[in-house]
Amino acid sequence: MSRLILTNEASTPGSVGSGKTQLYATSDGKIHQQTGTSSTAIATVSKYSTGWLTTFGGVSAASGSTHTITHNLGTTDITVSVWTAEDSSGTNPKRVEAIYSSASKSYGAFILDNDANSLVLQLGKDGHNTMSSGGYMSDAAGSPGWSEAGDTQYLKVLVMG
Amino acid sequence: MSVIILTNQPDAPDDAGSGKSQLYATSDGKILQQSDDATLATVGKYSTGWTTHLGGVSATAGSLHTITHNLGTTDTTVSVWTADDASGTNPKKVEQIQMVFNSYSLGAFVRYVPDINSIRIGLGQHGRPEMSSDGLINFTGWGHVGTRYLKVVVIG
Repeated sequence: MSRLILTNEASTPGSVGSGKTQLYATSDGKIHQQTGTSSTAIATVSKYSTGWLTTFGGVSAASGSTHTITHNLGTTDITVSVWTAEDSSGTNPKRVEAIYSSASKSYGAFILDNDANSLVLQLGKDGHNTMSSGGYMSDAAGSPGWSEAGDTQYLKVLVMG
Repeated sequence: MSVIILTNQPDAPDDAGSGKSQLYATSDGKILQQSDDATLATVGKYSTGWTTHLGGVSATAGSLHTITHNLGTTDTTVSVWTADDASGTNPKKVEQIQMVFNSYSLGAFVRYVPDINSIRIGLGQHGRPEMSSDGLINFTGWGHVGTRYLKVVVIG
């Protein structure tokens, strides 16, 4: 059920800074509450996604590569997830998990550093691994690299905060 | 560019709970509608900030921490971060690794969701994983009890 709580006084709203009490949104997804001519941002959560890419921050994704991701969310209180897919349309997407195998292989992606507007993404030296439909993980199969010949993987980094 | 959502009739708003219909925001980022104080479908965020005592318990190997976020939902995403000091120097996201072949538990695990307002975080008995700049996973401890700074961020 939806219900109208606050009704505009006119069919056309006032402008930002008009002196009227109002809510307004900016292009980064933040909602601001205005009282009179001053306004403050409400502590809303925003989202940034790189989209499906093979190059991040000008660096091609590869085993052991390091990337700077600029999200411009303006906060260090963020959650981050890294995804992989087979093509730029996101076919067969899987979340990248950190895995250290019995064969001493390092799979996955780590976030090494972050400030209010960017983070550093570190990719594992042995690519990523995944779980088969039967629930198995293996060093021998199903463990593609990041961008080796014939095995290009698309990655997406999703940041919320 | 800014987009106006709503403009109120008077220049100054009434307080929340005034008895008038209005929208208002709370400190966790939720937007509520008064007359019944129902929360709109907004997403809120909670952060513990950098602390050595999550939920009042010292962070150490095998410790269990109850984090009260008061977001009012079990549909959450959670990230655990670690840093060298209370200012958040050298922050790293704590991943979780269970090495079944040698029974090692490393990192931070969401162990349990008791209700819509809290989660329980467990720290690995054998420390936490890190990744070097060449992509190699290595392992390190939590440090002496009460010296490792952690931050839990919950969004939902």
